[in-house]
Amino acid sequence: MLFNSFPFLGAFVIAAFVYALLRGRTSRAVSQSFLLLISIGFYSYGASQTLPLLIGSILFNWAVARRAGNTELPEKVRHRWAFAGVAANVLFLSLFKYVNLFLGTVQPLLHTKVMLPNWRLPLGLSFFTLTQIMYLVDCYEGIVEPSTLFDHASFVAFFPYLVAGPITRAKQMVQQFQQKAHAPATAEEVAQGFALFTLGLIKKTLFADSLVRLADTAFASPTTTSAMETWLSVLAYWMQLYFDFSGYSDMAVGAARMLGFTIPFNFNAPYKSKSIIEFWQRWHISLSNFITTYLYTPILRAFKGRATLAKAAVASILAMSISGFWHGPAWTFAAWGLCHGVALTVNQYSRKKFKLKVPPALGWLMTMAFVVFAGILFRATDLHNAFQVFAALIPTGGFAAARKFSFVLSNPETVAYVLPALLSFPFAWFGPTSQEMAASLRPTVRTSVAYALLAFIALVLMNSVIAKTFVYFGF
Amino acid sequence: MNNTSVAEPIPRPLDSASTKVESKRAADPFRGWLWRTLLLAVAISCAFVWVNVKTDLLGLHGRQDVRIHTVLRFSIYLMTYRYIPDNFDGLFMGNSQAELLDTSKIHSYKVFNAGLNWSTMPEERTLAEEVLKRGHLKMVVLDLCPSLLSSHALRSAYMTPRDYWSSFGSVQTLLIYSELVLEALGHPGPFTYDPYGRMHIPLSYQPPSRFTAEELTLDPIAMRDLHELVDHFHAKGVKVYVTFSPMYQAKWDAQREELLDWESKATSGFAPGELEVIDVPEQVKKPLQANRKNFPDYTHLAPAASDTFIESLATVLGDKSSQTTQ
Repeated sequence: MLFNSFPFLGAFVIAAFVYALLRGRTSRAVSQSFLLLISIGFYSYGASQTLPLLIGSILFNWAVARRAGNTELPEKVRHRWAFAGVAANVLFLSLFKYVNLFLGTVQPLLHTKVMLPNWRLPLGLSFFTLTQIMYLVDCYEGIVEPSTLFDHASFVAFFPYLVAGPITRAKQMVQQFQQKAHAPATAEEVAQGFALFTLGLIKKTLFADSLVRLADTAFASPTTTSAMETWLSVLAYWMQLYFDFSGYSDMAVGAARMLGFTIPFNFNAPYKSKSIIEFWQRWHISLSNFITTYLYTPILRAFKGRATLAKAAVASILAMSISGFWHGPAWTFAAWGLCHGVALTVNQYSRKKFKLKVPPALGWLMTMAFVVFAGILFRATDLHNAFQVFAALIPTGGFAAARKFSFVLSNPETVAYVLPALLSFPFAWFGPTSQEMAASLRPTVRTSVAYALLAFIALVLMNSVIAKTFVYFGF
Repeated sequence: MNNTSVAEPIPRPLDSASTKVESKRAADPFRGWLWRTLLLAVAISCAFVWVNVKTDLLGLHGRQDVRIHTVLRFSIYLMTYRYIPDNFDGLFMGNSQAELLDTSKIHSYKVFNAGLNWSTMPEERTLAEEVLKRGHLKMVVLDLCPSLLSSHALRSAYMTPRDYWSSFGSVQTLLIYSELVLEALGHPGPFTYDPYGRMHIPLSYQPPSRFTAEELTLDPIAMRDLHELVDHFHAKGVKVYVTFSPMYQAKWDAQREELLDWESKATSGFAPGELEVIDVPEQVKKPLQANRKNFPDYTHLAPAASDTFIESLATVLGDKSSQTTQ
């Protein structure tokens, strides 16, 4: 169920009230069962057909983790269980995400014709599979104890992050289920959660949904879009992706906070980054953590001997390419990951080996230019489309042709999305982050009026057009 | 797992402000703040809905003195819910060339001008189907021109059933209020509309232009929509007329063969009696098309010329109507 939809808002308000009552007055089994039920309910609302896959995945990983994390078993056996579990998860993910891409790529090479399976990508598959891979590894390494089926299901299916993250580790959540069982969320927690949810909703409805209308143009018809409009599209997509995903993440953190749970933030003003390393410390933080801990480090360990800059370079390029590919079954995502891996390596070499000191403004400009251009790969439908968009950035046919726009500003409908789209840029560069705003929330009349107005604006925007899905729901 | 400090290109995240958002001691002021904020948000929202229902700017709740507003497609789409079905038995469909015609001059039927700026057939079909569903249409005039049938693109995010809910409070209604405020302050927008749906725009000079091959290509989806719509009209006993707006003679002559071919293809494939092509008499049309001043921007008819055209077309429609009644 989309966070930016009226059915979700209505159902969530009721569910949050009931859950708060249950948590204060009944046993953990009752309140947590209710939480599990509403999580499954929200998931089923839009994806009832793939619910058995989610349930199957939960059962499988719970069973495997019990063996991988069982310290009474020999290390070798536990390792086998963990390895088999991770491999099964990767296979499961690949079946739905990559079979078509693989068969479609090899078919022309082998001159064969194979019927491609028409499997719909189950909602949230990439995220709940990743969550459980982390769980298996953590159980094997002794970072967490294997949970009961009840706790494991509650952790995996927790609706705020089930579909699109933030990617959360079991040790962060299971403890909270156990420790906070009889304490309803405090008023301050609910207020902060409300503030975060409202800010996320504004990011999505005011900024991301306006930006998407500018962003889509060049990617939909790169051969007929003027150079200036292509630049506008590419820049708009750069902003759209941030506001869409960080808006979603804020809503997820906010919804969890209103229920009394703390889940990690995913963004920390990434467009203020002055290097690509800093960018990945601020962008999709939960994925960045996953890449570092579960991809980069094991790859680096696989090299024998002392860790060197060269080995680290290979590890980061590999890790980033894999993470790029995780986003979707397209070579554009792999290319995007590869570019970021190379950029991280260049950044690391320039810092550690050549001791280069780049002025902050230049560092910001270079980082953002790279992120914008790499974003073309991320958004394009395929590599051909990406090349077309790159080509369309170069003006041809004189100034008049280059500055032709497919919209006119005299149309009020255009103003309604161009104005918020333009406002989003300074907000991303200079504005405070949602977490800063929520953290500094004071219970005054002024903040009350401000957040009530923001909530009203978000509701008006939600009611203006058909709710648009989140970019990361497609991954 | 952490013996890789020598080189860690993807270091762990900064210790951000996020970590500072920690649960503090439960404090009562937040309880009051929460209730106040939620109630205020609900109160503002309810007040906004109430204002939208009360003003009833698009006649959804029975108001009769309504007109198209600045958000054209949103306005006209919602007017098909009640205002047009309640007040009109004829529709005039087309794009901006049709939109400039004063359909109140047609007396044999009460005709609403549902022409839309830069419209395509699927958009026009959406409007017509809504009226057909709710009203008692007797006659429709389709003013066909290349841009109407060369694409099936939807030019707006509006014109969906979702618009009904948006009428209770949305960006669209806010835009309409801002238009009304500007009008009250003596700053009307460049586009205004009358109760029959006619658009008034200042026409500015444009250089001569030719129809491109793309514009003269009939889009299969647009054509399918045209055929299906005509079928629906026919099934409901609505008389369908097709006309072609006058075109500056030099522009017509420059692509005469291509345009004749286009006209013939656009009106072919219909069952006998499904539609009838009508035109104004030659003695009206010829002088109209010959005078450059009648086409200030090379495409649209100037106000006086458009009145001449629609008056003549009204006579033709009147004759047809009386023939039908006899």
